[in-house]
Formats: sequence, structure tokens, C-alpha cells
Amino acid sequence: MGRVDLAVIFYGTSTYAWGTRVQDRCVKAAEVTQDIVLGLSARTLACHLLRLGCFTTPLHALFWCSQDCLPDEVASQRLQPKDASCSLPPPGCLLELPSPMECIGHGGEQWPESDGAEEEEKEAELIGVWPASVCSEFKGRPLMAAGSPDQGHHRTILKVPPFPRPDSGYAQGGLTTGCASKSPGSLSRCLAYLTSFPSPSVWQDQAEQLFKSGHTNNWAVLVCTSRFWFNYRHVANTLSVYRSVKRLGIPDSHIVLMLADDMACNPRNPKPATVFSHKNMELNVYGDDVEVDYRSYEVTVENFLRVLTGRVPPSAPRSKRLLSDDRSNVLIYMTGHGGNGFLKFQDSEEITNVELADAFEQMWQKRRYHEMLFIIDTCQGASMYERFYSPNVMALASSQVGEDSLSHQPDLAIGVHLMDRYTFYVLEFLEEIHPASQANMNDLFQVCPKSLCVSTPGHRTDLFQRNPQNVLITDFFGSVRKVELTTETVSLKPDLSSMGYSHLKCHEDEELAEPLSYAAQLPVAQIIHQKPKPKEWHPPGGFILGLWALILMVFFKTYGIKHMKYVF
Amino acid sequence: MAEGRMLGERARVERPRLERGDRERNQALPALILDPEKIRGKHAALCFATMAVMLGLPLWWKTTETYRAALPYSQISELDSLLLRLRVPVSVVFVQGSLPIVDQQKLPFTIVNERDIPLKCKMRLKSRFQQAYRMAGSSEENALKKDTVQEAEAALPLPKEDSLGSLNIFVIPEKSSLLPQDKMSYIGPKRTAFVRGAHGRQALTVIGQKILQVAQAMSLTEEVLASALGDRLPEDKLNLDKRRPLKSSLGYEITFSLLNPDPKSHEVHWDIEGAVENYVQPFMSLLSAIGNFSMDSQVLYYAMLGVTPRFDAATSSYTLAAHSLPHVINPVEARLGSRAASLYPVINFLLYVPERAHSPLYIQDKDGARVTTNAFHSPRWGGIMVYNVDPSAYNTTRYPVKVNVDMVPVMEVFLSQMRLLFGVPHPQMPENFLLGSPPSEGLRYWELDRLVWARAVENLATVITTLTSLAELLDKIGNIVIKDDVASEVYRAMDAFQEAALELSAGNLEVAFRASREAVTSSEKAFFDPSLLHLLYFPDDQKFAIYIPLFLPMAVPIFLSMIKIIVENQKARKDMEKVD
Repeated sequence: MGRVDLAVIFYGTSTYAWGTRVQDRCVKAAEVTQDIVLGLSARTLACHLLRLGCFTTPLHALFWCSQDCLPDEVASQRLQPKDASCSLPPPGCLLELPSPMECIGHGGEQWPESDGAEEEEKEAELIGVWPASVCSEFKGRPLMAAGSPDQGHHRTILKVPPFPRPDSGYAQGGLTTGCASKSPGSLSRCLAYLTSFPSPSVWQDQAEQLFKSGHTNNWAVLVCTSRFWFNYRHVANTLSVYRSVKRLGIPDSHIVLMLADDMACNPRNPKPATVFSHKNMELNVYGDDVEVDYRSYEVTVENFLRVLTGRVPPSAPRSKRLLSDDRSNVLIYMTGHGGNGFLKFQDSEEITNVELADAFEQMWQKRRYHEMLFIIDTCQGASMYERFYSPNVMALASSQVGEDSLSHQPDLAIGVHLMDRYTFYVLEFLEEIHPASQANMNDLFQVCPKSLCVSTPGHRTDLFQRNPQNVLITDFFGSVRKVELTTETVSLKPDLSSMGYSHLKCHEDEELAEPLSYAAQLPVAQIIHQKPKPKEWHPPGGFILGLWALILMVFFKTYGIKHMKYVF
Repeated sequence: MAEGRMLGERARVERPRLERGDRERNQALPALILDPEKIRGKHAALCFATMAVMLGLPLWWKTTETYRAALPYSQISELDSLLLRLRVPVSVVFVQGSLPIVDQQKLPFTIVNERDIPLKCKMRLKSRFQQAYRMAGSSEENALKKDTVQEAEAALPLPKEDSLGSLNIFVIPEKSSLLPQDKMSYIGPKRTAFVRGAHGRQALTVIGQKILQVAQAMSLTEEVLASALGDRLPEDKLNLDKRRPLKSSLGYEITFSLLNPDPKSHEVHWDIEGAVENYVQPFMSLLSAIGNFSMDSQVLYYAMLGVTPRFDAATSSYTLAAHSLPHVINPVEARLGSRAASLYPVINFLLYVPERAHSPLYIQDKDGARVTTNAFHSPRWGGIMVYNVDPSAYNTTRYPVKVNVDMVPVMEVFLSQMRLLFGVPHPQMPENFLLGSPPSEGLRYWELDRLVWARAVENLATVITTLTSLAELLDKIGNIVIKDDVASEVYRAMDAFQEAALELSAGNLEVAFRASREAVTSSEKAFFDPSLLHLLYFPDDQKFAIYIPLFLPMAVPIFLSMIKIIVENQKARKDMEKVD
């Protein structure tokens, strides 16, 4: 049964760790944001906070959302208390919560109001003063997160679980109606009401089900299909995404990075060994720990499709393979120059949307992914996901068919644009994400409105089986592992004699140990004895030449050389 | 030259017809006959056209087609609706006095109990317990007169059939003191179990049910097959257990890592070699039936966890809360590394010795209680254990403190995690069952059998998916090439699959498992063969653009001359009619 350390109010796009600066004061989060609480009206909020107060740790603080960052309709519809018994403080201030007893006594009065920035820093602790027996009654009863009724809006509105309505007396706002009355019997009535809630485990399960993804590992394939100096921004795009997914926890072993990688050491680069993603050389995304798996001329359509479908040559090392399974969430990010239905690979070949869709189908058939997120930042990007037909694929693109994607961040010193607009704003969004944040895909869809992007970003979710609202960003961009506590052990008998022996032996071995030969780790035999690639048969050049000669001969035989003038 | 001769022949063949025609039109069309040049031109044009159609088109078709070797499509499509029988040979031995005399006279005989395992798809799975009843021999009788089950079990002669997957169940008298009075049956660490007998008219039926219950607990249950069948099971059977075990593979890499984030304070030594030899190796030697294992170990310095532990003032210790554990693994994982060449799944076991500033460190569960093992695991990844240094070691001025890791508790945890990761969870038994403690290897023999059953079924399920999806893909996507060697792999996979299915229904688990592995290897090889991705896709307009420069220069004169010939012929016919 979960213990709520802190309440999180979800009126913003993301949550923050306690102690970090709350930039827009939209959200105040916890040290840990495991359980989700949201009040939609002051009454229900108050009552839920009361119940939180009964959890084992105190509720630290709670910031109300400032008015300007709330969607208007939400502010007007949901934040206005319907009756005067429990009204809201002005937006943007700290809710200092009274103790539960106080609330029960004075539920009908105004919340204590406080204002200003200095309060923000203050930690308002709510100390549960309810008797232990009462607390244990509904200790650990979590609040359920439910889908927002207004689907159109991108912000997540998590609803409190619907209160069961035993009779009309309690129907008005659930608990507070009871709490507000000052009659001595009200406490017991409240409690009786509370204990009539459905069993806590049901709520917990529902809340967990909602955000359950069912994957156990994450993979990322990041592809930059351009080369040459003027495509600097594509390399920076890819490297920035690489940085983000790495920061959110996907290890290098699970990232396949395909990059021409000719920027850092390009003679035209005024700052060698750097790739910047922000103007004025603010952010170097190259660093010293970039593991490029497919470099330079290895970035080809064939190699990309081989990585996706798993049909790599047997000599390919682990790092060049996508070893995903049926429980893998795969993120595929591509950037480069594209057109309607294709994406160019290094100015020499192109991948079509049909090919890509077929590759995904092959992956699906072989259960090489559980869910897939495809992001493409290229001109007419939406055309690339039009042909997808495999299930569980969600796709995003920077522009619609017929639109160009535009660049961003021109830098005078470097002389080129450093990023593309869409990726720039996606990354800005990802910067706010941390491994525990609850931001969902709907937030990502809204990331680059046309006013910023100039192009119209598109997304496609019809193949995806879950509601994007319930898909966390970290399901794809991060790698949040599912863990279980180990509770059982096998019993072993300590084997002292042999332990000592092996100890000795170990020391002997150290002296005798031969240096390891690293060649032994490589499949040398396999590489050496590889069969030569069987050559394809082509009609020999002489044959074609002969054919033409024959045609000419027959021609002359038929018409004779003197009729040449009729031909030409 | 050859072509030239052929042309000549063709011309000769065509000439009689033309000459006949000429003769008919001789009078009517003097103009045409009079001009031999025209006739020769006509012949040439016809020659070109026939050559282009007879020779060029087939040549072009042949050289540009996608090569596909013949595959057993019909057999593959039948795989989906296959009936798989899993036969468990059970030998049931009755001791004197466990059965009424009347029933004893019926022995020996064999009964078969078949049960359907519900699946979502068309494939059907049946478990079939074949119980061979017989009376005990004298040596068995003697062995079962011992005082305790363990002794009795040890004294039993080696059964004739002790292969993978078989079971030996002994029926002892109802009032026997071998088992505690409240226990109905005993399941030993090997493939042996004891069941109390019964009396009365329905004795055999009652015993039969008990035996079936025991046999199911020891071999095939739906839970055992749940992880193997994956998405073939009905939805409501989904749970975490299903995702925990590693997928069936030909081999596994096991890496033991010691993380020492604070080498300035701790000099940690662990005798991993001895521990592996004494505890892991015996376990692995049993598991070697399901794959090859290779083990290595490493010590990583300054490897930090991703989460800062919280200080708990009450116990003056540090705690890691359960909900922060998912974030512990990733920062460490980047440093673990892996063997470059091997493609087998890697299982990591980490022993973390917390830095001095954060010790002692304890893992808390959701309710805030300490986890006794101080360890946790992640599905399909591995396990982490926190090893706290004895605080008394810090009463010294000399740093780093020498820490000798006691490997027994560590290996107890790692082995139990390994059991979970390989899909051998702690068996859940009914109340009245007495469960023998596992042998020194840490794995009961029948647990291994259960694992092999599951893996064999999983392998076969994988083969079915691989082959059917290959066939489906070939149907859907036109430009996949199937070379002869790929086709032969498919055939090999089919043969091995059929052999495995046959052996499973015959009850030879070991042979069946080996065949199923072979089938998986072949089918994967066929599916992932690099040559399948031979041709790239070109949209139709591009194909057109490629062929036009080839065909147009040739086609235009041919078509024009053909049209001309036809027009002239028609004209000639009209002229003829006019003349008539």
C-alpha cells in the first residue's frame, strides 16, 4: 500500500523535484511523485488533503497554480467553488493547510490566505493530529487518477475518484458537506462515510493500470541522414536527442546512433571537436562520450533497414544491433532532407515511406517491439508516416505534406543554422522531463505550435492502442525500469574448506595468470572463414555489344549502306 | 552467327505463307509486289518484333524477378492450428497396504488423463498424464519402511526411468508414519513424490485424483506455460510474472559486478571465484540443459547509484524507498559494459557496497519496512543487492578499511534472483503438501523439468510465430528474396519442429527440447538472414523512369513499323475489295 509523501498538483505540464525552482509556479511537486492527487474544486481538494494528512508522512507544501498558466476553461469551470462554504485562495499563493481537526471544526470558513513570494520558500507542514486509530482506518487510501473529460486540451487533468453517493445529503461535494457542519456527530459521520469507500487496493490498481505500459526495456535508434557542413543542424538535432535520452536513462548499449559525424572535425568548424545546439556556442552536444554506432558512409538505407529488421551480418557487434524484444519500447528519431514520401540518405539514396512501413511491419511480425514512437524532423515529414500499418506505432512529424520544416538558431560565428525548429522545441520540452515525471504524449503533441514552428507538426495515433494521454514521455524517452523487491532467498551451506582453498588458488592464479588475449573474444574464425559473397550474374558487356552489332548488321543487310541517308 | 541462322530460318518459314498471299493478290496488288524493298523491310520489322517479344521480354522478366525458392507454405499455415500434446510419463508404485486387496489385483495397468490448456488462438495444447500403476518391488518396500521421508527417499533404488520430465509417485499406506499426520503428500527434491493411499470402494479413484494433483504440481500447470506462451494466453492471465523470466535463448551471459563507489574508505575484496565454483556452478550445471552459460565478474570503482538515499534519523541509517528503486539502475548500467561478440542476453548481478557517508543503507518496501534481503531485481535484467559494511570496522584510523564480503548471503540472494529470472519461482503448494528442501544445487529436479517443459513449448511457439510471420511477410511484401539456403533452413526448422512435437507427445522431453532448440535456431537463421533484405523498394514511377530509357528507343521503331504494316495490310485488303 502506497504512502504519499507529498501531494502533487497536476495543473501544469510537468512536475518538479522538491527544491528545484518552480519556474512558472504551475506545479509544486514532491521529492517523490508517486501518487497523484488532484483536487478539482476547493472542497474536494480540501477533503483529499485531509485524508493525505492521515498518511504516515506529513504533507509538505502545495503550490497553487497561477491563473495565467491555467487553461481558461479549467480555471472558470473547475476552480470556482460552487458554494461559499469552502472558497479558494487567489491563484499563485501558497496554501497553508490547517490541521485536519481545524478543518473539521471550521470547514465552512475561508482558507487562511497568504500571498507573495516569500511564502513560497516556506514549508507548510501538515501534521496529522487525528488519533492513530482514526488514521489507521483509512490510512493509505490513495486517490485515483482518471482521464480528463476535456480531451481537446493538452494539459492533464487528473480527477479525484468519483465519490460514491450514498444519499443526497452527502452528494454535495462529498466529505466537506459533512465536515462543514459543526455538529458533534459530524466527525463520526465523516468517518463512516470515508470507510464506505471502495477498497483501497481497487483504487491503487486502477491508478497503476492507467499508466502501465507493459514494457521492460527501452531502445532508441537515432538517425541523421545528412552529411556536409551546411547540414550542421541535422547532426546537432540528433546529438541533442541522443543527449536527452541518455540523460533520461537509456544506456549507450541500447542506443543505435547513426550519424555522418563529419561536423566536429570539419575544416570549416571554427571550434573543432564541438557541435553546438544553441546560438552563441552555449551548449556543446558533442562532448567526450558520444558513441556513434554507424558513422559516415555506413549511414545508408540498407544499414538502417538492417538494424530495424535485425538482418545484420553475423560479424556485426552488439552495439550495432537493435536487440529489442517483445517487451521493448523503441524510439526512432530521424532527421535530414526529405520530400513527399521519402527521406534522403546522404545525397546518394533515399528511403521511402513504403519501405519504412514494411520494415516496421517486419519488426512487428518478429515481435521486435512492444510499442514504438517514431519522430521525424524533415520537410513534409507527415508523408513518412502515412503508409504505416503496423500496430502500436505512434508517429510525430515536424511538418505536414507540402510544408517545409524550418531551421532555427542561426549562428554567425559558425555560419550555419544550429538546429531545426521542431527538434529545438521538442528538446526544450524534454529538458523539463525527469525520470519520474508524469508528462504524457498529449503534452508532446502540443510542443511546437505553428506560431513557433512555422510548419504544422503532425502526429498519428490511430495505430497506437493506448490513449496517448496515458502514455508517459518516459515510456519512450527514458528507461524507467520495473523492479521488484527480492523477498525470498535460497539457503546455502557455507563451504568453508573449499572457500579457503579457492582463496589460496585464487592467489596462485594471480601469479600464474597469463595475459588475456582479446582476440579470443572476437569471432575470429567466423570472420576469417566467411564465405565470399556470391557474385550476381550480369549479362557480360560483350553480349550486349554483340546484340547491338547484330541489330545494326541486320539493319544494313536489310536496307544496305546506300540507304543510310534515309535513316539520318 | 547462331542468331543469323535462326533469322534466316524464320524468314524461310514465313515466306511460303507470304508467297501464297502474294499469289492471291498477284493481280490485285501489282504495286506491292513490284517493290521488293518494301517486302524486305516488312520482314525485317517483323523479325525485330518477334525477337523483342520472344527473346527480350522473357530475358528481362527472368533477370529482374525476385528470386524465391519454394517454401512449404501449406505446412506453415497449418502450424497455426496445431494440436500439441505434452505427455508426462508418471510411474505410480503402490506399497503393500496402501490399496484394498480387490483393487490390488487389477494392477498393473495404465490410465491416461488428458486436459486442455485454454489458449486465445487456434493452436491447441493438451497435457496428458500417462500413469502406469504397479505394485512395489521388494527393495522399494524395504526402503519405504524407514522412519522419515528423507531417509526413505535416499534408500529407494534408482528408478528405471529417471529421464527429464518423468515422475515417480509412491503410494504409501494411509496410516503410514512417514509423513506428518496433517500432510497428504510429500514432494521430494528429485522426481519422486509420496502420496497417502486410501481405503474403501472408491480407493483407486481417490488415489488417482491425488496423484494427478501431485503430478500437476510437479510438472505442467498453466502457470508454468504462461510465461512460455506469451500473448497466446487469454488476457486475464497477464501479470508481472509473465514478463519476469528471460526469453528462451541458446545461451546467457551472467555478469557479477562489485560496485565500490568509495574506494577511499573501503577496500572491498570478494571471493567471487570461489562463490561461483561452490554455489553458482552446481546450479548452472543443472540449468545447462536449457542453454550455455558463461560467467564473468568485474569490480567497478566510483560507480554511483542514481538516487541519493534518504537519512532516517530514528535508526541513524540511510534508506532507499521502493519507488526510487527504478531510477537506481540506469546510471550504473552505462558503466557495466558487455561482451562485444556475444549476442546472448546478459544478466547482471550487482553487489553494491555503499559509500561510507551513506552507510548503513537499507531498502524499504512500500510500507516503509526494511527489506530483509536488502536486494531487488528487475525483470529480464538482473538483480542488485546492497551490502553494508559492518559499522564496527570504522573504529579505525587507517583507511581504506578492508572489507571481506561474506559470499554466502550474497549468493543466497543472487541465486534466488536467478531462479526468478529464469522462471523458476518459489513453488506454491497446497496446504497439505510437504515440500522437500532443494538439494545443494539450489534447484529441485522437477523444477528443472518444469522449466524445460516451459522452454520447449516456448521454443515451439517462437518457431510458429517466426515461420508464420515469414510466410505472411512474403505474401505482403513483394521484394523479399528467398535464397535456396534460407529455404533449406526453413525446411530444417519444419522438420525439427515436427520431431519436437512428436517427441513431446511421446514424452521424451529431453529429445523434444533439443529438437525445439534446433527448430528455433534454424527458423531464426532463416528469418534474420541478411540476404532477405536484398532488394530495395522502388515506387512504380521510379521503375518506369528506369526502364523507359531502355525500352523506348527500341520500342518506338518496332511499334511504328508494326502500325505501318497493319495499316498497309488493311489498305491492301480494301484495295482488294475495291478491285473485286
